[in-house]
Amino acid sequence: MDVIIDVKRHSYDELLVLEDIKVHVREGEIVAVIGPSGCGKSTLLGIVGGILKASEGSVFLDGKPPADCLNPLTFIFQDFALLPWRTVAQNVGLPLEHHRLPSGQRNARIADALARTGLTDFAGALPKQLSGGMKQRVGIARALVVKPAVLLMDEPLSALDAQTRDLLMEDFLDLLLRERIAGIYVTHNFQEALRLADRVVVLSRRPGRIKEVVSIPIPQRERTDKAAVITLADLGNKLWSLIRDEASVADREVIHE
Amino acid sequence: MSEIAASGPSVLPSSGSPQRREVEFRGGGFMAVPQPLYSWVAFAGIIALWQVSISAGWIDPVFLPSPASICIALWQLVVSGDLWIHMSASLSRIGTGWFIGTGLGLAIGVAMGLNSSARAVGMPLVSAIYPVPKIALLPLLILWLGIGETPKVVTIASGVFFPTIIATLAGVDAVPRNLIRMAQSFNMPTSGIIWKIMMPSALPGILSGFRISVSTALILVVAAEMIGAQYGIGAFLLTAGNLMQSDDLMAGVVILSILGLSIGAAITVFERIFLRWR
Repeated sequence: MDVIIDVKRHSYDELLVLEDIKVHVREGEIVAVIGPSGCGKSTLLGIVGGILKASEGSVFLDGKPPADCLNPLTFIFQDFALLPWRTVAQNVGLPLEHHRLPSGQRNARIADALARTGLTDFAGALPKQLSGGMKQRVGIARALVVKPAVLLMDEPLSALDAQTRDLLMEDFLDLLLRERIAGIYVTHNFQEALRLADRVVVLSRRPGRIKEVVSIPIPQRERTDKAAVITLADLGNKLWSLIRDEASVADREVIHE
Repeated sequence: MSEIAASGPSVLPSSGSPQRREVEFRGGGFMAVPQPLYSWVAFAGIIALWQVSISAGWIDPVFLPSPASICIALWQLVVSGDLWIHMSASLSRIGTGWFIGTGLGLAIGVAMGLNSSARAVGMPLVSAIYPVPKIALLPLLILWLGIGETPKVVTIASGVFFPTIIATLAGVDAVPRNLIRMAQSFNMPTSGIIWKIMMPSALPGILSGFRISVSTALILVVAAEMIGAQYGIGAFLLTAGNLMQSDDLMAGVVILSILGLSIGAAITVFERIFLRWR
């Protein structure tokens, strides 16, 4: 299933946040979105996922979702967005509760999502008993349980410590490639973008416009090879050069709520 | 080929330097440490001092009866059956008034939390009526509803109603928006968002409101019974006061204290069961 983003403009009252964003995310493709703080990356993701309405423009889905897909566009949140009063299994099962699934099928989906994220032994735990990395695994399992076509990820690893981030990123990548799930991955972190994405969309300072789309010509499985290191470092330098000056200016701007 | 030098355990310099000194501890304090023994000792100490003051004749027992005479008065209330008559009258009024006021307050608080129009209509009314001491309405309610149980129950219900609205509204407002967006991103229907996300999330605020409203109900039942009732703790207190039976009067105060503590403990148990996730 493809996602076609055609957002002409989006503003909060008088504040123009996004302008002329046209991106085509193909089936199974992972697209990272980077840009200076406040450039509208998360807003763009909200518009793509239908929880924000663009002031002008639309987002389209093209193609059939996978079999058994209950929610083609599914978010993974930066702050996990877990219900603290529910156990891991109950959190994972939440998106199934308003679908008329037989209980056997529902339980099988939950068990499968827990198994794929290594959470089977934690099914009865409450979120407060889990580390940040484990909480995000619950967020991932909750996304997988609906068998999504496209994952919308808003800095899903940024709340985690560096070691957990590295570990989870590899699991994440493995999952995306194995399941052939497309993804739009918003991040500040070049390393994550270069590790996960097929293409990196670089946004300018607010109002966010597409400054450049950088393709990464190395398959994700080969990016940890020594031969890829120099190419990826060059790409990292290129990405940084594209946003460095604007990031510095954005850092000194007043935050608009 | 470069090699990384192997590192062993670190070695500290010898303590020969005259400038060497230990870093002083500067932290600690500013933290509540549970001291249950202190609480019991202080409580027992005050009771003992009180008893000694009366027994030694330092205080006139007409003004302040001794703990022993209060205990005797309490025992007489129990064996005569009067305690149950007064308690059942008060508890029945508190229970009815509290359930009516809380039920309506919850419903209207949730409606105001979810619906901007309901909030716009309700907020000025709540703000205007909330500060009015509800006992001031009792004479008017007696005029409207007669001298029976109804005005007392309505007084309690109205006293409970407003704090419940405010607590519920604050609880609904405090529901993290990211949880609502998460549910919306899975196409959860509005009823599901209300019952599965908003209400459980607002529950701590609502239970805090219950704690306040129960205390309000207790105050109002005593006040209402002092104005017009034959039975009830308030009526008992008023009669004891009029007859200068200070031991009975203090026994009534002790009953109210035990009642308040019991209700508070019940809410704590309720919180432990329903808010164990916190």
